[in-house]
Amino acid sequence: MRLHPNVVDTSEVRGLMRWEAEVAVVGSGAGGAVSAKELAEAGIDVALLEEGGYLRYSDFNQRERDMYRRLYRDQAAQATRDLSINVLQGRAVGGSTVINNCICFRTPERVLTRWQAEFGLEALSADSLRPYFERVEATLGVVPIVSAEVNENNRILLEGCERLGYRAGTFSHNRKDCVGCGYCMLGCPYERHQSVDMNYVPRALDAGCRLFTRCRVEEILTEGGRLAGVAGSVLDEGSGQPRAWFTLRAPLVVLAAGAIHTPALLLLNRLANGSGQVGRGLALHPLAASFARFDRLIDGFVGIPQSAYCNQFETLEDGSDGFILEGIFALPALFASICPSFGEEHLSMMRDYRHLSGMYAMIQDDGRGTVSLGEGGRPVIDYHLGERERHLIRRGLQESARIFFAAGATLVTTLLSQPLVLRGREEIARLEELSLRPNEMALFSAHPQASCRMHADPRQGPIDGYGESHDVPNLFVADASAFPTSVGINPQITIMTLASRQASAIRRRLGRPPLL
Amino acid sequence: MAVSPDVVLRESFGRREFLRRGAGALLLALGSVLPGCRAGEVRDEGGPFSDSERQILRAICNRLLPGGAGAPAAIELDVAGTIERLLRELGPHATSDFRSLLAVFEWSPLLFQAKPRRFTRLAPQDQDQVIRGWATSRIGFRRTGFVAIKRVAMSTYYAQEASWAAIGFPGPWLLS
Repeated sequence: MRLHPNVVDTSEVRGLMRWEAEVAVVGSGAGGAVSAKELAEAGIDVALLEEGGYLRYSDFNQRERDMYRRLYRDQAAQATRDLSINVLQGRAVGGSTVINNCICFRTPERVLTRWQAEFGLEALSADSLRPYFERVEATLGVVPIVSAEVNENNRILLEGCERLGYRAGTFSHNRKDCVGCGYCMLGCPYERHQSVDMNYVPRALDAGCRLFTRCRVEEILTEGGRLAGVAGSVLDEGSGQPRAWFTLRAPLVVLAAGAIHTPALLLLNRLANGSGQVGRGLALHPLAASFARFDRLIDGFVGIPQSAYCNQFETLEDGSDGFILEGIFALPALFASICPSFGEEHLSMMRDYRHLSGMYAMIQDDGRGTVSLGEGGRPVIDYHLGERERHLIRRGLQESARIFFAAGATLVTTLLSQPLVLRGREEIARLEELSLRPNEMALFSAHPQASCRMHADPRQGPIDGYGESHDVPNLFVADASAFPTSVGINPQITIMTLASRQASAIRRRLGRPPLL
Repeated sequence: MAVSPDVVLRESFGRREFLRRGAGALLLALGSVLPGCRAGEVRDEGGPFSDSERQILRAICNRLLPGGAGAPAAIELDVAGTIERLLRELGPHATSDFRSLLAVFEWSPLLFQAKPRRFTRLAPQDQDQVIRGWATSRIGFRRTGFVAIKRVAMSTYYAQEASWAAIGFPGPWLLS
């Protein structure tokens, strides 16, 4: 497929390449793509750098064996140091928006209020962000999921909640005329998933932005104390190993490499860390899944994978942060690797594959994790569940089981290595006994965040309320690492909204009209 | 969850971090001198495993994925062979921990149950008991080792179309 002429072909480059731009944007996911488009459309010369490849719909073959390798960071194996939490992130043009399930939430007001009160970010009010939310949603084509699009798996969540009187609903999403194949997490081969490579990136390219793929930024350049650009390796498509090198001179840099790699890049370069907070405060939104068996066929792998949620426990009875329950399903290789037990017991559960319904509790966690540098400068994630997170996981699994049984499940199982099967609601209390030691239960994260947090006080956060470094002028952060805390909801709209607001400020600084 | 088998291996054994902490370091050091994993033991040309190591991995995979009633067994889909080929591509530094883990696994009846037996010589139901002991152990190294081997074996097996009929999965919409 022919790519846009502003996509720079790096497949043949050798030696040291030298490029220049007015702004360098590192990473083309939710944050970087927005920055690139909003800046390029103001006439700014933007270079957008992406470590992964530029895959188009014809590259997506719906095979787990191929697509995890091509679309995911570390080929879907990125994990905490002790392997206890698998941290999923995209690595391709479009970043995680290519492989997410298109869930669109605005940042909850309670979260913004906290950011204002506790982090000195008074300007981040729901009212001030509204026009940016609206702009992002219009660009993505965000619409509500209608009832006819809710598959059987997600309908179970809604039915169970209705019977229990729990607050629940269907998401808004960024899909257009979805065919319901169910393979969203392997890239959409039908061009219905409105990820940023379908809208923001093409519009940035149309406006003159140049896109450099398979370029991994390793160095942030400074000269005389001033920011001067970035440098790094051009990766070979086949081996993934460096094949050439580049320098990109630019007086303004936007880092949008995600909440693991943005702090790692700053740590590697010993930059912007006067606060000592770079890499600290990492939140993961741990996902604790459970599955239930129904006598009828569910076929959860067909249709929109995630369309329904329950937010009854978003805030707990004592006013503290809680969790959201969301419908989920997994394709066979992924499901088999987390399905409890082994041998005949494992096979027996796998034989129920078509009868299973899935749900996870997404925990709004404290920033307990860190990103540090390991061998060869590679990011290392450390994260240990605190007692509050363990309590929320137990509670989340109990409420999931209650909903499943209310909807008619015959049994519910968690993802413990040693199966814990509940055969009726009277057994739900057994979940209170879970110790949740590392690697006793399969846990995921799809939302690393808050590892380079905004804070008005330079002593308490590396970046200010617009995502600019307190220490290095013209160095910005535009991804989820900028969040002061975890947001408690799927974060793509928050990332894009904050990136839009930041882009408006950068436009003003560079003498262009602001966005709004 | 990690589902690309080669990357599961690289992340688990290539980084050489998670298994080398606390009790893991001691057990791996022990594994490196136990029969079944000694550095001098004869290996196939170009292969990361000796025959005895290959037997241990096959035995574990056969209990993880015994097949039956329409489901192929691990050996029919060459799960252990696929894992070995993936390890070979990763190079010797990435495979040494895996080999040590196999040796600890082989001798785990002795090390953790004070039974003078080797894993590969146990009856199938006793092998299952040993594997369960790894999955539920109080020692983090063993739980992590179990998770790493299980993930790579299960994802290798269920990424293959030959495994789908037994679970009723119709396969992707797009033809390969």
